[in-house]
Amino acid sequence: MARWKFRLQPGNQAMGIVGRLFLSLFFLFFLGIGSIFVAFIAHEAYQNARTWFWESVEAEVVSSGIREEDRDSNPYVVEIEFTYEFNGQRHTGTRFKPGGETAYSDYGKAQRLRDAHAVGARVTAYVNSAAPSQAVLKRGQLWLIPLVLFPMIFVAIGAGGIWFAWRAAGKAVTPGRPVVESLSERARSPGGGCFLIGFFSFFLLIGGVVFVFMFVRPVLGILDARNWVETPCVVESSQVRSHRSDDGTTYSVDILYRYEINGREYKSNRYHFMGGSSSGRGGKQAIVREHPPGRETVCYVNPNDSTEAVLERGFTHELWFGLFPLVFVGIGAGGLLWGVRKLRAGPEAVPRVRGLVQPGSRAGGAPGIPAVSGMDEGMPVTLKPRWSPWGKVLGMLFFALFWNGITGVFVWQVIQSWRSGRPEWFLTIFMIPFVLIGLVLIGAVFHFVLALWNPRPTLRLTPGAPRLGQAMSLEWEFSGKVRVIERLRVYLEGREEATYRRGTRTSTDKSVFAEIDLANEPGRLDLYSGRVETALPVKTMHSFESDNNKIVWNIRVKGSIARWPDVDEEFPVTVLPAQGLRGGRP
Amino acid sequence: MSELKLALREERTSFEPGEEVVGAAYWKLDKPAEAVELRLFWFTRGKGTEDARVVETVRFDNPQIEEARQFRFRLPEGPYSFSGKLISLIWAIELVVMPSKEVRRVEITMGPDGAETLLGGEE
Repeated sequence: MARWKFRLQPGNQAMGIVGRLFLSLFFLFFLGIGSIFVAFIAHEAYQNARTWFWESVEAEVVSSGIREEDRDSNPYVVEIEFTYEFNGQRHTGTRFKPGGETAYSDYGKAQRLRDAHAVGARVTAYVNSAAPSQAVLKRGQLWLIPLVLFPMIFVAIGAGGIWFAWRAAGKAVTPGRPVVESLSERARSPGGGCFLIGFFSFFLLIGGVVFVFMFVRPVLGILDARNWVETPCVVESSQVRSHRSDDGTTYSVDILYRYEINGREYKSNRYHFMGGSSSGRGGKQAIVREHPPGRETVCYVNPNDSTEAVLERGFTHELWFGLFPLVFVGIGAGGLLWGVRKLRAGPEAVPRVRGLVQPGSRAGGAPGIPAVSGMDEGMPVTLKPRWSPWGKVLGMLFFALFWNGITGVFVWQVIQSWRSGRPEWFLTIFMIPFVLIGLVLIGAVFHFVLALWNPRPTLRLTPGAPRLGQAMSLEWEFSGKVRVIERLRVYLEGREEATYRRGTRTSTDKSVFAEIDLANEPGRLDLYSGRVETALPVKTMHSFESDNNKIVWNIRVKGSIARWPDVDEEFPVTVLPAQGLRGGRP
Repeated sequence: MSELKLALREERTSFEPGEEVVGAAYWKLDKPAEAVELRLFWFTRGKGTEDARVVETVRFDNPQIEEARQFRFRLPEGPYSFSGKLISLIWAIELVVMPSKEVRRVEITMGPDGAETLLGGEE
């Protein structure tokens, strides 16, 4: 007779007051920083937006000019003075737009603004009717308003975290009514697909925008400048400007030169189309040395806009740096694709199986058990290696290029600092381990290139997807220079693979729990093509695959070769649960 | 807060693949619920980010405030309950009140001879 007894499971422990305070302090930091930024941006946005409610009146420019400040950031300041009448009173204004001064790093931009507001020009001024002495010639920009939403994310994280710390703790301490978190609810979540899409879209967007500014725009400028007019010019001043930030100091070339078009003098400080600043002072110093003040040279002037000119209109090596954002574009696009696939697949999706090549029916497929699609589980199957020889070469080459590409930027900065006689010691020492890893990666590329000439094994397994306890037969055969192999080992390997995230880094830990030798004898030529029969024990674990955790079975083939990369191939095998267990009746 | 109870026949918690899990659920709700669900599922614990999959769900729409129901699940052929150096897989049945998500859970073991497979424990 059936016996029933209800049993409760203990609930969560209450979070201690120290834990709650610690969490609150942590999230208070987010809340505080976010609030400061919200306040700052909101204030700026308000100052800009209010000018759209100011009254427009006619004004006259009484003076306009460009003042050069002795500073490295935006040294060319446009000064415009204008007069206007409001409610019968005459006022004088000096603000072009809300906020601070109107300053540029590009002399041409400053010149265009000054020319648009020449002395005597009639322009529209916007006047604060509450304080008529306040007026601007250009209303504030409204794009700051949606920008407030960005720091709001930090405010929400901070406020939400504090709320969660106290609310979750409060729930857990309810006496006599233990509550456990629903673990099955996890299976119903979108599986992180939305998060991945958001995260990698950000990468793609930022990478794309930076790529357009660093590469596309300069290249378009270079192509356009082919038709610009070669014009004599004289260098007025030349210097290397330094731009300091938290990430270090970068440098830019600032050569101010004058030229004449139709009897009128113009000035420009554009050297080439790759704007901005970068590390490495030496190269820029050399350019400045070639253009001392008073030097007569030629510049190229836009026939459609005489304020636009450039000294160097060809492709320069700095343009290669413009390709760097493509790394982010690639990572963003790849991650986005991954996120979309994950979202489409959903949490109940049956994992795909690798290594099976023959068409047929289907086995497995319960959630967590890899589906054996496209084959009859009892039919023989030619196994595919996890990585093809060329796959290993290209994969390692890509990784080595990626690693050394990023490291190279900093190494270049180190070299420049030594060449300029002001070595950056901290950066030099800091970069040593990164450079060593880069060298190891380059070595690994050569290792895999040499391994392309290794003998290649072909494996045939019957049945293609064996069950625990079921007899299986493995046949193998080598092609290529088989005689170079001094010792051969073929074995089955069972392995746990756990993927986890620490901060922004995703890692996978692996642990081998079973090794079953199929062939392991030195110096026997008949091992290079052979056949073995075996069976996996019933009381071990079959293949298992979920989003972050796996049990994988592989057939490993290892062949020692003297003074050459060894044969080391891994062939994934799907092992299904045992058949015919007591409860396994249909 | 509602009172939720979950029991398995003969207090049995060890099963072989393909076996039936029979039990009863009791609830006394503190407010009307949209539904009560019984879910057969597995989840992982260990070093990796935890995964979970619901294998079967029995849903009782518009449940009474106080009610007891029998349930019956057929276990699939896998995955087995196992425990290794990095990962453990646990089978469980949950009684979940919707939409409040109040929950009661009972863990079970599923594998050959009803035992958990210990990885690296035997050759």
